Amino acid sequence: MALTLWLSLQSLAHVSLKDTVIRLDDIEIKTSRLNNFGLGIAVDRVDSRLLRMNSTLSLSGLFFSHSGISMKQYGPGGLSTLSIRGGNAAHTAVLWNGINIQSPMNGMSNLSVFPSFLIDNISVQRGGSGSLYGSGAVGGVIHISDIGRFHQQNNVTCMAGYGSFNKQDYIFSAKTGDNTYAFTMKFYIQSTDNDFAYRNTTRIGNPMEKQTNAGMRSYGFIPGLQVRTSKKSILSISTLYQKFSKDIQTMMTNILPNQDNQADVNLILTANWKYVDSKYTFLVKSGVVRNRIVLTDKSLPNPEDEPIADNTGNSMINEVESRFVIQEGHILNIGLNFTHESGESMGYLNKAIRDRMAIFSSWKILNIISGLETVLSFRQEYEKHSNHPVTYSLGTDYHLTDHILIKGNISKNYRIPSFNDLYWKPDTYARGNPSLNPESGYSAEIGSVQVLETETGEMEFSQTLYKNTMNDLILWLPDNKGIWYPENKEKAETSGLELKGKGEWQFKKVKFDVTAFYTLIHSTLTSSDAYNNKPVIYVPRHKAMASVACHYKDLSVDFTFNHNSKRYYDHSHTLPEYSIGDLTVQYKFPVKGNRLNASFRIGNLWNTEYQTIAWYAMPLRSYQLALKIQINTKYP
Amino acid sequence: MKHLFFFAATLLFLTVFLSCDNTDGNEDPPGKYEHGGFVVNEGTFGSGNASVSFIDFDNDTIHNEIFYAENQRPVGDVLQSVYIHNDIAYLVVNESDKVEVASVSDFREETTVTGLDGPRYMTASGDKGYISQWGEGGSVAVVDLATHQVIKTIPAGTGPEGILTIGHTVWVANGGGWTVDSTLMIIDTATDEVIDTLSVGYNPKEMVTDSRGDVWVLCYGHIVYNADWSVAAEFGSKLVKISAEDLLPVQEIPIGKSLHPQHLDIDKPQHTLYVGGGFGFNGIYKIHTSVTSFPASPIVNGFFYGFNVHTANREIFACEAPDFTKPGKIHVFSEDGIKITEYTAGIGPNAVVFTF
Repeated sequence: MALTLWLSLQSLAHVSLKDTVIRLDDIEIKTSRLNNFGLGIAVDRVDSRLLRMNSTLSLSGLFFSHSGISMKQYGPGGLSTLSIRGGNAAHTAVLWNGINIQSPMNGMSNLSVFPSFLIDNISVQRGGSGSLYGSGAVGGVIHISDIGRFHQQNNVTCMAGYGSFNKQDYIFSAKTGDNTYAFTMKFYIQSTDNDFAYRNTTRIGNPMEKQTNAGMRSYGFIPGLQVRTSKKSILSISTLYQKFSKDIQTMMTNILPNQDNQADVNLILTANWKYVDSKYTFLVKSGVVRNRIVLTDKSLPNPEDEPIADNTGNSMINEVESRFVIQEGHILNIGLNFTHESGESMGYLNKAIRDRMAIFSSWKILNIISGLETVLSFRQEYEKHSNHPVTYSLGTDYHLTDHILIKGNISKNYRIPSFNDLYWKPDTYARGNPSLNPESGYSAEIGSVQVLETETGEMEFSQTLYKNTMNDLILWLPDNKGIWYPENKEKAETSGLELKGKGEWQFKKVKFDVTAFYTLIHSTLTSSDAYNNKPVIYVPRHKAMASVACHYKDLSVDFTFNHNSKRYYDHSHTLPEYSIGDLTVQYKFPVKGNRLNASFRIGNLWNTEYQTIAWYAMPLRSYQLALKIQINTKYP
Repeated sequence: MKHLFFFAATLLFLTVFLSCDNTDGNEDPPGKYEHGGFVVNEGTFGSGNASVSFIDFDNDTIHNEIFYAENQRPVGDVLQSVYIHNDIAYLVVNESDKVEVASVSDFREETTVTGLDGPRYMTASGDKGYISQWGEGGSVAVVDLATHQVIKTIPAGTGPEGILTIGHTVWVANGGGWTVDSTLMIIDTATDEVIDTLSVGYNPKEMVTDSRGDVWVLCYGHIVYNADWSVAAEFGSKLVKISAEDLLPVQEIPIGKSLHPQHLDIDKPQHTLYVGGGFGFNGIYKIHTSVTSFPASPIVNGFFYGFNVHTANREIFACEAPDFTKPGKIHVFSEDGIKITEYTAGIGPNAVVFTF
């Protein structure tokens, strides 16, 4: 079905082919839906220099120190989820080369499993945009891409890292290609014991203790290929296969070490074909996401033979999208999405299967009045036996002057129930609820961006005010027989303010990059119990992040500071506020043509004792050293 | 008359002396937690938010989070039970595999007993504590209450629950855990050896002694499930009376084929049994030790996770745990089942332990 559609649309593409020459180098950036139709939305692109400097960190580690969004982790390397604008993990869509990798089983994706060096581009979009990305894009969207291969020189790169708690990283990558194709192969092995010392504030006398059962081992292969299929078209294929084995960290409150281990096997395959013309763009995306999670008790004689849980989630996503300039200043985007999901678990009676089809469209109007761009979008999803809300959005960018931009966006967003919510088999403790409705709500924001240029540099400031509402939030509660089941119960309202400042200055030979980010989140739950009128759990009222980087010749120093105010973790208990700082120093050895880098990172500089999930200890000061050798060969 | 005068003078002196002693505002009055009941709040599994509340009978009020308030640290993960012995409160913290030890009067921490594995309930005999635990295939840990060290671990049946000191013996109900067992085990406290094992019925959970010294056992019954969680077979619950003299089951009172209460308590003259409560069980039933059949209807209706009967006035303190993420309530009923009052406690209350 998808193939025939693809072929027929491809022939259509050839019919309308014109002889305009366009540069394909920046094709990724130019053709993404976010850049073209995400008007009025607040987006932060994670600096690629930061990605390179912190390449041995996991994605969650990178977000934790550099993104300004709140991140919670069941200990270092443990399950970590992020929250944007008060939403939970299932309210943040994670798109990998445009394919949503949220698990159909629990609606989440664990960002601890992905090492940062796999990624070429990350953007964090704050605010929902269900009309562009469908279910799950409620609080925000993380856009991850590893397609940027034509930009790189051909090279062979080796990297080795060693750090506190026996953290070891070995990375190998190679890229070859010419103007017509680019092939990359990456391979990595990472491990850590995470046997860090921490002060156990739950024990009498608050003794220092050593963390138990928190180690991690992971390896993966990441081959990728990009081919220019014509002057105007490009095909990108990316593959990720990884194994990630994580011992479940012992809670601070527990005396005996935890014995559980979680092993993930991830497979992500994405293929994108893009045809770009000055008047017409055509995109085909296809993706397969498979995530198997096996939870075992290591204290058993044969843990693998009697797993505690064995879950496999599959998604197959096919999407076609085409863009036309319908008349001067009017761009129309129309697309179709087919998503097939399945899930297998010991908790389900049968294999859970769901097929969804969505049509989506955006209409962008330029210069109704000078400097005004508006996008109107809608999306309707269809699924047998279930109703999904129509989502829509209106976004506007207005260039008041060359230096001042005003933005606004209103959208309707939703999240469909996960397989666990729907299909958990009725047992003595829990049962799913097949008649759940999707969670849905509205999000609105208004903001402004100002750019100031001075003789020594450039500064950018932005302010955003937003408000989200979410109805029918799915909550698991026990019935009067003590059996837990989910219902559409709660309402959440979140409003807030986001301030961002960014600057670049050059003073003689020293270059400074400064980023500061502050968010005020006021989230309130409406429910019929003790959580009524309380903030959503684990969402801080205030969060601030600042990063200062200095570059002098071949030396770079990067300092980041993060502050979180207190967070509720149930109706009455809170985790205290904390501030942490990290420092990374990088030195590029002057090697002709090739690259030799050494970097040294000190995490949690001033030994802050903190937790992001209650009673899951986080490490005190830690050190990491990494060496990277890149041998470049020029391609013809 | 003269005696009365001296008595009054002494009382006055004591009052003045004690209040002088307390002029330093930081000191808590002695006996802060001496006239009331401690509420055992399990908390949310895996969240480490178990807590202890204190219902103050003198002021008709409840103080939540008293362990945290006195010690600036949490109780731990899943507080299963609290046992009081010689003015010391033992907080048995199941998921944390520990027992927190605090003085009853001010609830200040004294020490922590470790070396445990899945502890459930506790009793004591002289200077030794006995803790039933699900770990190590079901066992009883013997703790020296002077050093707070585990001195012996006695193998038990599956999922031992209720544990009771009777004379120079400790009785253990092997509750079956996640599977099934049907035995009571008797330990000699002189040797800490198992001296007898009695077969009583499926999954004995709790025990009490009546005024004659006989032991009443609540057997939960047993449900066998098919692979798809449909019920393959169901065995009802019952009360079993064991004669103290010859350790023989002398009486059985069937409760009901599809009724599975989890808790048993007895009033002060030890004539009336109270049965009910537990996950998903409706009602608390009252049954005199002399009758032979189980009452048709409960004296109190409602789903209570646990309950206890106050020994002095026979009031029923029923624990409502609406779910394990938000605070529960303690409903107080008269012995005839008339609602008197209620208090909001911590998360997942399962029992009230009285100080007198």
